[in-house]
Amino acid sequence: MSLRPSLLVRIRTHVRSSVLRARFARMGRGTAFQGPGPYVVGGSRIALGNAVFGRPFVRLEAIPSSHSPPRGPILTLEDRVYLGFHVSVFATRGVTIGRDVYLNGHVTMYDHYPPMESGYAAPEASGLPVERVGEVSIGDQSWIGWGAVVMPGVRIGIHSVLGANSVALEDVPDYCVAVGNPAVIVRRYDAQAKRWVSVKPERNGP
Amino acid sequence: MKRRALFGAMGEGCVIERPGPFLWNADRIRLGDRVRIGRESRLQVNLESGMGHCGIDLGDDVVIGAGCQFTASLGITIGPGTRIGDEVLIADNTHRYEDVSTPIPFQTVRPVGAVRIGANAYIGRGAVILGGVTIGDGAVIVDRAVVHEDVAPDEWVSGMPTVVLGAPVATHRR
Repeated sequence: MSLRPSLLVRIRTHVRSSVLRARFARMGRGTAFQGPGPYVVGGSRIALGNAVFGRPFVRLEAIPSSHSPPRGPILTLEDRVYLGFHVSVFATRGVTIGRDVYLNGHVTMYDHYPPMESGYAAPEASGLPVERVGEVSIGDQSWIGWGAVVMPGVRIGIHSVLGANSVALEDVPDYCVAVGNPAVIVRRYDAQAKRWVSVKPERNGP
Repeated sequence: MKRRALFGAMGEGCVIERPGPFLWNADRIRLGDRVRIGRESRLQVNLESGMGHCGIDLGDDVVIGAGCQFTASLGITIGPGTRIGDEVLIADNTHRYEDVSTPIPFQTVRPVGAVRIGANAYIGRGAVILGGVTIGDGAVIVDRAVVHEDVAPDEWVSGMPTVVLGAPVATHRR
């Protein structure tokens, strides 16, 4: 039995993507979403590359605010991005997801914290920044595990792995494996030796 | 009913919520009696790994929450009476990423080991059960834990990587 969806599903996906094309600033060839969904807010500030594929219940929101660039897309998905079930991406300033990135189910990323104009602020004793706004970018070929969260201002490098349920609070360099909450680097590709080496975590887990 | 024909086996009194479930190779999925599957869930059996017997077996009275994903390349077995919360991932395989010249999504899936979950266990919301894990009867996985090692019967575990919280006192036992 093939993993490929049935003919009926493929026809329906094609029709749906034709309708969707009108809602985005740019939507490349072969880009398709399975339904129900995607739930799109501010589609005129969202640009999708070629052959982006989304599973059902994907949520893409681009809500400009005072710190947004005046024009142009603030949420960009490059070619061949895969969006798993229930992936949510919220952008107010700039979220860029590179080529060949694989986002597993329930991955969440946003470039503003706390929610804009919500009135929330972190207590001073918590040590958390009162407000955190920054552009998020996911490097080409990366793989983000189930339920992981990428926090505002975080850059994930090229060909990196973020483990399931991890929370990335700091940048992850190229060719690394990071897991945990907060995410710490546990493996790294050694370019000279041409192999992956384990890294002793700087911080211990929970 | 069409649903009954979809699955490999389906007991009496099952409740399958809509929308969903999203099924791949549903003839390899067997449901016991009174199984409840929440909305927006995804049950997927991969046959690419070339393993002979593989599938998803849900025992009697298993309850699965909304938005779960079970991915089986080698086999997932869940014992009777186990309750599983929302957004739980059970995957007995993982993605390869070691080849730096190929994008990770185009590298193949690596089967790790069959997942076995005992009877009357409880798995909290957002937990992740990785390949090769055996969870004992009556064990409790706290919400959003990432389980990569075996869990003994009646044990409570939480966190990432998991920390054993110990077994509950006798009065708390079901």
